[in-house]
Amino acid sequence: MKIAIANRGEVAVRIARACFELGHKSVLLHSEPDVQTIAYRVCDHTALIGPGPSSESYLNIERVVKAAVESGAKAVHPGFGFLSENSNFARACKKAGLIFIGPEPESMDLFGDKISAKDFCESLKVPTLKSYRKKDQSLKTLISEAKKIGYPILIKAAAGGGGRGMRAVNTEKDFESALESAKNEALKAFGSDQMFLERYLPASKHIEVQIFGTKDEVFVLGERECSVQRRHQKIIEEALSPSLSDEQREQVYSYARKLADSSNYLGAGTVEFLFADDEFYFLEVNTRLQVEHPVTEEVFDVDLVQAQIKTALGEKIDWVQDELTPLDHSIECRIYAESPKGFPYIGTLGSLIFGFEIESENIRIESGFESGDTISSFYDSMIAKVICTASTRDEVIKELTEFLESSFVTGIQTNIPLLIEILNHPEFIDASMQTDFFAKHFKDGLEAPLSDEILTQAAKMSLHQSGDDVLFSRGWRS
Amino acid sequence: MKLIELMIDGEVQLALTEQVGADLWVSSKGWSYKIKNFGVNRPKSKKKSLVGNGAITAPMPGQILKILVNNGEEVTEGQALFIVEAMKMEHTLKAPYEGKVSNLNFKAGDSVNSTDVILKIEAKKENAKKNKK
Repeated sequence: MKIAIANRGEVAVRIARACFELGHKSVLLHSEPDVQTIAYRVCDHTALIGPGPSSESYLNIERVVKAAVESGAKAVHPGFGFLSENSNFARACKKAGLIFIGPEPESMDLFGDKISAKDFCESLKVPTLKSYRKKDQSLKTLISEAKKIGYPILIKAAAGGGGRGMRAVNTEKDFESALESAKNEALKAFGSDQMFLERYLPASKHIEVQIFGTKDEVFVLGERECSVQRRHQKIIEEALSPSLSDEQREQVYSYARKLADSSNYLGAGTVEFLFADDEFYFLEVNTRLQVEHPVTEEVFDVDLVQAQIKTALGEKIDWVQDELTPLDHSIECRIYAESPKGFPYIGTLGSLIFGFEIESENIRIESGFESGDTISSFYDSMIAKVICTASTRDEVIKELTEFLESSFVTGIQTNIPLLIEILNHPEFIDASMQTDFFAKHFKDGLEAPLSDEILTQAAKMSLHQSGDDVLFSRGWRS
Repeated sequence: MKLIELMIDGEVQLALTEQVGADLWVSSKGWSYKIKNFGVNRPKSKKKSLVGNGAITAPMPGQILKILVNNGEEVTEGQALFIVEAMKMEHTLKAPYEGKVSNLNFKAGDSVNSTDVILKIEAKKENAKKNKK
């Protein structure tokens, strides 16, 4: 059948690949600028949703549903971000006769509302961070509740996510201004300025559990650690976490399983926790596929996207929980188009060559762009993911480093040099890194090692060299 | 795009250079550099970039190894003109278009810098028209 992909970049390619492998046809629902992407070229069909701005394309429920229906698609895969966790979109798809590849809208509502999610957790005795989530939003009440929780505090938007409408407050005197600022942002981003307060852990480990629900049972596919983050944006993720004992694993798996079982969760989902001082604290449930799903796929030898499609179509997946045993270690590096100081980089891609002359079965690349494609300003700047899997974590780090160092990118700048530095930082190597790792060591960005003099010489050499253009061959799988 | 070898602190480092739009980029060890103020907006065709006064300069400071043509000689497009040694490598400069060699002012063994005009190629009138796109 025809499956519509309501997303872009590397995940659209990923979904298209799963469709192809299962014998389905793919339709890419895309915006105008995204005709210059790999997804546009590999999908069986394409359908234009609208111009660049997300509000007129990828976030526009009416346009997406219309394009999906008109394309003849029978199902829609929302990817991640955009409308993937929007229950209105899920309902609109159903209403239009489309199969929504994801959880039930009720699950999306339950876990999408941060407050109801925490209420649900507490009812199941899944530990959460101390918080205040009631309707009384008067300043007096909020200040007194903040005092009860104890500083530092996080002011969060009830309808929010992705770090928006969120402010950390260290002392009571900063509370009022932080609250106002957070409320303004929340109102603009989510249409609601209802806030809640939560204990803030400035440094902890980010541990998340992959769940997958079918009509018959809920599978738990291990955990991932994603402590290397910049302003809540993940940069490096790995499976399994190098920081947990088996007992701790079983503990966090049981929490995740309880939540999934009790909510009759269907499809892929991720239960996120913070881990500090030997305690897990529930953060949120993401009712969708996650960016970092490949590391889980690698260590469990499964295909999560295929599983999503099969489940949505009523087909059985042949997993057996007892046989889902993880093997090896896998690390994913997100490649962002950005300057060495961390600002998004817009431009036309010249060459994007990963791991020149390296042949390795351990490397997997998910990329959305090729030479000549344009990185535009409308969307986030992640352009590809490099995943490496090997028997030990040290081996993975070594291989990834070599691979990234042998990469060539022209036309845009990327965070590749930053990734190399992070991977080889002592705190990453010994896995002691926490969520403040990036701010502690890489806040100021990196300085380019090659001088202007050398670069100018290199440029001149290239212009006058009588050498031929170079032909490359890919030595890795994707 | 071209693959070149850079000598950094006594070690050879591979670098990729490529024209992307109007900019020249160099990438090495995962880093990507845009060459700013390189001076000339060089489109992909070498022909276009050297039309003007027909001056052929040395690509970088170095030493002339061999001069392969004489003043007044007719050369064809792509014909080798002279060889410069720089950064332990030999670089052969080729004629960007058909024409006549003039103003040849250097000989083998001379040291040159990148602003020295080694020789000029005077394009034939028809060629000059063709190249003015």
